[in-house]
Amino acid sequence: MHIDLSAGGLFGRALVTLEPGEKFVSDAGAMFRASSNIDIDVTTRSRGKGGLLGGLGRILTGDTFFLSTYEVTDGRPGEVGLAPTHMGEVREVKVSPDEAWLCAGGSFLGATSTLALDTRFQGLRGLLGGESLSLLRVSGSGELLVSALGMLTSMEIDGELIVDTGHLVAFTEGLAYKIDRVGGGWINTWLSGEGFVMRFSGKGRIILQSHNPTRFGRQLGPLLPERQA
Amino acid sequence: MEHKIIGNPDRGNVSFALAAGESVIVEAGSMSFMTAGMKVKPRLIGGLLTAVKRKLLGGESLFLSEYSTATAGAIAIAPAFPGTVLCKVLRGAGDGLLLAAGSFLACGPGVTLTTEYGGGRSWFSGTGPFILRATGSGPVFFNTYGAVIERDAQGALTVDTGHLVAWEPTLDYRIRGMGSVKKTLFSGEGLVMAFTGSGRIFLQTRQLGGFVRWLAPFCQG
Amino acid sequence: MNHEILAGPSSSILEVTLAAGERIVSEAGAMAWMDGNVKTETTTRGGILAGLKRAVLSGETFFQNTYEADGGFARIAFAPGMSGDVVPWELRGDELLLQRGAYLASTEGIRCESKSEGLKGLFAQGLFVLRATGSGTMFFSGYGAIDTIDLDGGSTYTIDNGYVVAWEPSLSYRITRARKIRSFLFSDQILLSFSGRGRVWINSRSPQSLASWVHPFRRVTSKSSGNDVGGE
Repeated sequence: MHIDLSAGGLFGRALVTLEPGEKFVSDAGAMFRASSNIDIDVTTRSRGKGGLLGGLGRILTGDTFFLSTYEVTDGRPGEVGLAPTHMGEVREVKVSPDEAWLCAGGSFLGATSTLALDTRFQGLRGLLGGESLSLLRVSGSGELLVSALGMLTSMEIDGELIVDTGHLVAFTEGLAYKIDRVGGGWINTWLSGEGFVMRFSGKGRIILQSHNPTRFGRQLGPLLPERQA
Repeated sequence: MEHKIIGNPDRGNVSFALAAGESVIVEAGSMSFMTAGMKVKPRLIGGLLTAVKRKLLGGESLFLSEYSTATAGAIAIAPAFPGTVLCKVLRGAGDGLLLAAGSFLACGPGVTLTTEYGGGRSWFSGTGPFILRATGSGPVFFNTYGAVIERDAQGALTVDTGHLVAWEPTLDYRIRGMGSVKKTLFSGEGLVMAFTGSGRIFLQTRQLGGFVRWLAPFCQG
Repeated sequence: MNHEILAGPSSSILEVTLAAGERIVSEAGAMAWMDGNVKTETTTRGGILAGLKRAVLSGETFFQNTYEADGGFARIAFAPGMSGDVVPWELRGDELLLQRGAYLASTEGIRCESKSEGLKGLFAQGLFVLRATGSGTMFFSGYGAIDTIDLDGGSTYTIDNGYVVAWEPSLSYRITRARKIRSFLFSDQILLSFSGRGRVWINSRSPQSLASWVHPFRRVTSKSSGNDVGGE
């Protein structure tokens, strides 16, 4: 298996080459091109006891999302191209068995089938007022592909860091975190325009995106045609 | 205060290193991450009443946040849309910069911001008919949607208002439609700004109106 | 006429320099800025797609502007609506097929007409593609970076219909779907299998994906009075 991320820049995309017998998984709908010998198997993952809870194909709302599994059908190598929804970079994260990663739902692009993807992970400690953060726990040994709105930055944390939740892409499980509001007080929060922040502490690695999709959506949404409820 | 802009031309964002007691003023909601210990205070340009008036006239409220720290700290910010982040350092006296209001990202505490009404027929990319005037001293950070093209205007340059980001106060401008009413309607162009005189103009290679018009047909429901 | 593509590849803009009397045709609404004296004219080349609700709402009506340098040289910049690249392509009496939204500008010797694809391919903006013929330079754009795939007539290649920008008429395509869909809810991916010998240009982001994602951020219509409840 080979993951080609050389097409970088604002429109990052991954071209995954598969040998016979290898499997790769992605957010369904991420596939935009493929050689003719690629087989695509689409399944639903839902939180809780199974069952189909509905959902718009590519949105990881934390309840249901669709996954596609790719493999070659004819004993020859094949390729699958994966593209995220947002304008931004794509990066590969090497996951090893000694440390799981937590990936923000909207940042998940794909993974080698050797990784376990746990959508039942809650991780919403101390949450106030209705804003939800969907996290995917990725464990085992393999490669994880994450995507961003804008630029991806990896950082080592040793101490404390405060991150606006909309900028979170992924972090190692060993980090402690608390969800909070910036500035204290609801008026200040409303006026400052900030939503929720995560206060990280301890030691670990974190991947952030330079731009915030929620903020992007809130600016863009009202300018588009109205919709039915 | 030190700053570092990374990610240009299409993913620009900026981080600030603040010494004890320093502060920076940023567009509300633009904070990406920061060190512990930063304090935030809301700021409005011209006060609450002016902000409300701007909203009623179809503009942005332009809420700002002032981040400060008692000890040393760092804060990173980004615009809502990916593009280029630029910095112009104002040096007091007659120095200044005029900006389409939505282009403003941040400034140092020594910069004064006022809004001006661009006139009933002006409409800037996503922000309505308001122009921001920055004067004083210190850095002004502004952003484009898409990449930036800088032109030293010598004589007439006609610009679709959606593509206009900022310009120097030495330039004169006039806002007009593209000719007869029918032409304006079908040409698809919004309004244009005709510049005369000399000075620097900052243009962006994409504009929110065009992006919305392109995406709208795909929006169902 | 000279042309330059500035600020590529994510936010490419096309700038053309016209000598007195020279003309360029562009999609209505694409002019970003211009230098010099320019005469403009709006036409509805390619036919009005009447009777289609979507066409009227979405501006499928294919309006083009013609710009002419009036009495001296002129320099005009054209920007697509979405972020991405701009590709120049020379036509020498041959033909190019494009997604309706991919057209940006062209020199006068090129004729563009809407072509109904019927059920053959459900492209990004409904059933219509553009057929460009003639001689001259054509400029097209797509959402995201644009890659090319050259097919040699041997194997076929699969492309999601939302990502096809332009293709040579020597290629043919048919609809194909993911083979095993264990969830009947997943129906939004339409794949095209291209075959033959020729080039296809593909982009790297999908407007349908973005529209799906932005759906919850759009304002909800108020049903009772028909007025917009809650301003900006």
